[in-house]
Amino acid sequence: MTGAAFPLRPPPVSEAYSRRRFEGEVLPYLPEGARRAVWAYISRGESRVPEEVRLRVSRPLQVVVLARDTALDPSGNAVRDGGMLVGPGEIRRAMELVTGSSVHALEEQMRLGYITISGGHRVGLCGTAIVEGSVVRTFRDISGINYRVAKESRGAAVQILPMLIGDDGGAFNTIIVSPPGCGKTTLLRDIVRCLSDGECGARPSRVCLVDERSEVAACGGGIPRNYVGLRTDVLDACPKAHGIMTGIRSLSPEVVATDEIGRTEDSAAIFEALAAGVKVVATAHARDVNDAARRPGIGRIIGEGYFERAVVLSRRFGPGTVEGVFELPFRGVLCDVREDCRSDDAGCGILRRGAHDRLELLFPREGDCRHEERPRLA
Amino acid sequence: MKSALALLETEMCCSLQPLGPALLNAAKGCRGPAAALLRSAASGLGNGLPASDAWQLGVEEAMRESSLARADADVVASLGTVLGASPAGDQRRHLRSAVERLSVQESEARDRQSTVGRLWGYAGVFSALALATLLL
Repeated sequence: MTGAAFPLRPPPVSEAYSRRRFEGEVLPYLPEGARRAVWAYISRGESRVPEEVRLRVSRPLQVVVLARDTALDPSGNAVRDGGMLVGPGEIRRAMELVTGSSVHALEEQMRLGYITISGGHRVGLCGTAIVEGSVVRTFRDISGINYRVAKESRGAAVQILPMLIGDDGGAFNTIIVSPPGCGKTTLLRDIVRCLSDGECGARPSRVCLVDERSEVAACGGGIPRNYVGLRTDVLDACPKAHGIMTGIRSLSPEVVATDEIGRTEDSAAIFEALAAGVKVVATAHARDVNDAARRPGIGRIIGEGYFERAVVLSRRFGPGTVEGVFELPFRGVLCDVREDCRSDDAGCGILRRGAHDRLELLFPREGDCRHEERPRLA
Repeated sequence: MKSALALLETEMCCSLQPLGPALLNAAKGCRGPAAALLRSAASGLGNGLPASDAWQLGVEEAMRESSLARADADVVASLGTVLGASPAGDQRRHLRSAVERLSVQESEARDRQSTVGRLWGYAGVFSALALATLLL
């Protein structure tokens, strides 16, 4: 694809589809009072489906829309001051609904401080940690619950997928990085779909999706709730390292995809996949590629050039804004570049080694570089 | 009832089944009022009731179907406030504690029954002796 000028705005999401899923998959897990208020709020024609719903004890009910939080009164009106106060009883009821009165069956998720509900939505918990040794066992006295609404966005990867595949249509090893809440999981899901179904010039590929948090495919009873492609095998709720190794040995994938790598064991498993000739598409929490390269768990994979492409996301124009697609190692932004655009031009977002052998990453500014040709960089 | 709670412990703490399916699976291994309690609680849970309310419904159903003693019903009902609300280790402790209390009450009931039985026996013997004395 030519003509890409970063940052790329996220593609529009069908508001009606998002609303249907929010009503069916998130609202039932809210306590009754909050449910009525949020339902009234989204029933107004001008209201968008929230990205988050936040319950904090003794504080007003809040919804987050386009990264801005708004307090609601019991009738669902957005208010500047005051709002519907959330009581301890509502927090308890919310916990019952979110856990299905089955805390005993969700210990591993509770230990990490969040629970994935049906539909792949993540519900974050805030409370008092119970620590044994130096390990968090669970949380008690929950004082806050944050419902993060997952949005399936088919087409999220269409603009950039041609930059993530080679001439033969095979995938490059790709890392997607951003701070939390910028759409990494949504993009990963669509990349998996495109690779699996052979869209946007990709060769149809067998994909093994290791979905440790059940957020990418959102499996329920073994059936993916989100469409992830015809040739995708989903290892649901499986620890990443184990899932990657199992997938390589038993599912003969061409691509392994997984969300939120960061631990040392994740890196070891990814090395195994790469050594087996399997391509890897993964996401990581980081501000940018430099930041990811400094992380102890995954820095080595990035720094030594095992990943061939990096996609950096932000919330500049909403979650899913693509700040840049970078060719690794040290090659530059995959956009079209003017002939007179120098490699050290700050406006072109070139990845290079700077002082003290440190990777320096410069982002293109909006409006700079009307690009026409792909760069050729050493 | 004790075996029902033991089955429920297995489902919740070994199989780590969510509460609803755990109740239904445990009910399959029981009969009578215990099965009725578990099924009724599962039904209440499935209808959106809080776990405590669903469990109370189950206890009331069990009392209707049998002559479940009030003391036993209270022991079983007390589980409603804790079921599904804590990690598996805690759930196991609560369920085993309830089984132990039921055992204690069962034992006390047997002792009472035995004592009353002996008393009636003695009463019968003394009555016969008294009658014999009168006749003589």
